[in-house]
Amino acid sequence: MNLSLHEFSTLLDRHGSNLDAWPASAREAARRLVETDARARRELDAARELDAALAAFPAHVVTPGLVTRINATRNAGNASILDSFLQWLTSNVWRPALLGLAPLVLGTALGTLTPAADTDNAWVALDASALLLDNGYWSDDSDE
Amino acid sequence: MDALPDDVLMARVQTGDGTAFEHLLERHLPAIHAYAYRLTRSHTDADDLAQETFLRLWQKASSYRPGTVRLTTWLHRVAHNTFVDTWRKREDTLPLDDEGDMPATPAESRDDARMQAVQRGLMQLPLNQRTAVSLCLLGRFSAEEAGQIMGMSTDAVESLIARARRTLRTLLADGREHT
Repeated sequence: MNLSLHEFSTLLDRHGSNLDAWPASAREAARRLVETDARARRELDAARELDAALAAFPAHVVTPGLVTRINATRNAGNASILDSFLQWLTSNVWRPALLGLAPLVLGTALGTLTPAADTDNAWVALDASALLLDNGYWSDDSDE
Repeated sequence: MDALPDDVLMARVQTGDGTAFEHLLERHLPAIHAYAYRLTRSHTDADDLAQETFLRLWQKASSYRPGTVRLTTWLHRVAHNTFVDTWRKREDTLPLDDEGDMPATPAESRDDARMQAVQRGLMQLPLNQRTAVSLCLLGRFSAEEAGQIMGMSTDAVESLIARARRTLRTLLADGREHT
């Protein structure tokens, strides 16, 4: 396989200056071209310079105090949910009353939505109660 | 808690553990802030974007699925989407902050001058090329991961990197001819 200068340049842009990291099929042809073509060598040198410059980029410096600011904002966000609820609750006199009525409303809703009791089972329960009564289980001991 | 893996800390954040959040913040803020700076080209906007990213981590922690993607990839995607939603609309109006990562003093050596030229060149690349370079060549993400962050195919990312490399390489070659 032979590479033209244009193909070499395209592969250089795609894979960088480390020829060992190129696809195996193009690696040897690239090395041959670099040995024989001065323009290919110049392109490879420029690519190596670029990779060296990218590798030498200084570590990014985070703005001092940003960690504290983000933590404070998060905590303020948590507090504000509770604060806004309390503010809503206490800003009008009817709101605590409404909150107090909530269990009643919930109970009524649950009672309405719960299916009616099975009537057959209800009669069985009544019969059992009558039987127990006949046998004196529920008699008042204080009479004896 | 410093030694705990990201996924363990995220599981704790999902239960509302603020201390776990603080550890993740310390661990990932430098990378996210660097990425935010290269997107926005402004320190002030980078601060705001990084803050918004971590607040979304806190608020939307339940949407993170361990094992499907690395946390750093997920965070970069959140930063990227936040940037696209909010900042990109005014990208053209943002001033180029030349201070950036660049040293305030003049370059002392040829290597310094070269690096500064590449840094300036990077910040002047079109947004998508700058983003791809930032993720793959500076952030050590694979092209596939960068594609997940940027919402594009692996091939598209590789193509962006190739175009960016060509621009920067030409810039370096031009600089060498002028010295």
